[in-house]
Amino acid sequence: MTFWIQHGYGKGDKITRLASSDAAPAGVILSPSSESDTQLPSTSQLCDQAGLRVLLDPETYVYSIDGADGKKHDHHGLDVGAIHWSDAPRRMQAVVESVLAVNETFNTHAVISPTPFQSSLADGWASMSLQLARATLDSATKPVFASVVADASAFADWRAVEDWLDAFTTLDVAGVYLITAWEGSSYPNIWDQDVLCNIFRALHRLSVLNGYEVLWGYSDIAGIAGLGAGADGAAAGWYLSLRHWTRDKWIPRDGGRQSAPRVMSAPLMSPLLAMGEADVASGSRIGPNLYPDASVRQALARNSWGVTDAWYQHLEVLAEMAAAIEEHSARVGDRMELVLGWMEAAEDWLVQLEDMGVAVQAVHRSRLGVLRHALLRCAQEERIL
Amino acid sequence: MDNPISDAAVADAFPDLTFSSTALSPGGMKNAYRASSPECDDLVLKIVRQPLEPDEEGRPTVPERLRRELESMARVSHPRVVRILSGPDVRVIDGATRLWYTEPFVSGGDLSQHLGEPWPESDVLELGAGLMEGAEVLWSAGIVHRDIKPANIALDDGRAPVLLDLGIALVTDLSSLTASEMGSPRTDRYAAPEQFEPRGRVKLDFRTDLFAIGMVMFEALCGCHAFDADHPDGYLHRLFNGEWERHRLREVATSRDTMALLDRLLAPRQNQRFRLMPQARDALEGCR
Repeated sequence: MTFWIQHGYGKGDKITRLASSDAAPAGVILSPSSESDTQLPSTSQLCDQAGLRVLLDPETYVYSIDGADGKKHDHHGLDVGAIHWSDAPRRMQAVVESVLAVNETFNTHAVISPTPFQSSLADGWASMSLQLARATLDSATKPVFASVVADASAFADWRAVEDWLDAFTTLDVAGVYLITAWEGSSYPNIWDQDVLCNIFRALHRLSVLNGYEVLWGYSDIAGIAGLGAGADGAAAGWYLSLRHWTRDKWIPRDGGRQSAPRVMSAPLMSPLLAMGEADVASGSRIGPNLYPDASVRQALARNSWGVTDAWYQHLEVLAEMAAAIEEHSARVGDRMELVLGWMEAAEDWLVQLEDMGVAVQAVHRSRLGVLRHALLRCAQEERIL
Repeated sequence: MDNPISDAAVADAFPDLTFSSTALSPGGMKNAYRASSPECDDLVLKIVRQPLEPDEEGRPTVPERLRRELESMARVSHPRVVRILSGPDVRVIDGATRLWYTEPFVSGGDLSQHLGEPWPESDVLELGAGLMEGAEVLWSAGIVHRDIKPANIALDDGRAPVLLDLGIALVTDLSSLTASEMGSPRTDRYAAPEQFEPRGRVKLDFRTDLFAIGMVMFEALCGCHAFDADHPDGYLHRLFNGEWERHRLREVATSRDTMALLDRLLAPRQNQRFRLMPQARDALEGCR
């Protein structure tokens, strides 16, 4: 079970720092919209030298979203223009060729196939996504990850998911790169429990039953639960927009305000606000349980926890959790039990904080409850436990 | 069953064959006759009873998809798959244009004659391995058998399985199974759930054959049908929900690995079975 870095603007040196930590990520998923043709090659090279697997998300889904902008895609020959599910095979082949060419430039370890954004799993876009994966497979000289970028609501109807899985699993690709889009940009968000359960089931089917290497992009903490369901990799990045994929991320807007720094706690499975939440929790009698790293507690006590600390620490904690799942067992049932146990314990810790009068946003407990119930139902439906 | 083809008409239509039997017990959609020819001492002539529609100019035609598939079959050569000796072709038989082909006669009888009592697990795994081998060879030629069942599995001299009746299920009516159709000659007790879906809604592939192999293996292991087809009430519900008779495996002391294998093979959805035939074969080898 591996953790992947979702690359964003100008973070090459930080990725390599993370790569040298104890629980090093397995790889990085490069974003061609984030860096120019002069920056991205050096980022890729740094990652490669740091021993990370390098993949590149071609982000072609941008061209199927109204008003979206691929930013620096033109630097990389990836500005493929508006795509439509009715495009001719020749046009799709041209998109595939662009993606293969950029993968050669960056010496990636595998090719992530181009894909449009899908609102459902059964429309013309879904069919186009499969065709693009097949075309990539036909032409690629490296292993191929078929990418699927779909609205999370597309997973609401399990029968539709099953139909899609029946078709998708005819692809003889090495892996799957899945991105699920969520409504709203608030973070931490609360997922729809039924949708999340079906996503976990899909991850399980793709990975455990069908043997694909399944990488859930932009999945953050839900990705850790996904590892419990059988996914092989979960990815998250520095910013909130790299931990929570929305269509809005791709639509140009005036710059927003920087979000307040948070502190990730593995025992809580939650990123509390540094000021007003984590600092109080850290100073409580259960502080060492919630933040085992003394340097984190000291920084919080000194009120010196900054945005950069938050970036690193969040990803380090996720990488450690992913590594712990991997070390625990190769059996999916064991992994599932481990993660469910973490969630149960995290909910208990939040209750204890509440009992001690430490004010923590209710969203943390709510989302943990949703996450745990979704995973538990996945375990029951798929007869994992 | 109504047989629209007389034995005399068959003899007239195939003067190059010497017949040693009248029509063998007719299957769901075809007649079979044991015969010999100058090239083969012991063969079976199979004739699809349903006449083929003539084309616009009144000429007999084989539907394009069926023709392509049958041509592929004629190229398949493997001990676990019956070899087509001649045909497939069309001929006017008893006043109508019908599809025919010949296969060698396989001496060991079909599997249905050997089922009933539970087999040793090792023999069932041997059977399953042979069936998977045959289905894999077919799939590598782009063919889905679609109708693997005991009556379509011959046993050769070494009791190894040989798949018969290739591709004929293409023209089988796969309309939904209903209680009234259960047990009728056209009922396929071994069909995968997706075969009951409306045509065009699903794409059949080798995973459909894997399901049927699981059904046959279960029957050999336990001596009964995996989904209790003798009780038609709720049959489709059980089939579509993966509610097969797991408890029977415990009664015959099946190993956990083989139970897990059957769990995959008999799963209701294609995506729950094995994505690649070698994965299925590896899983089976792991049970031995």
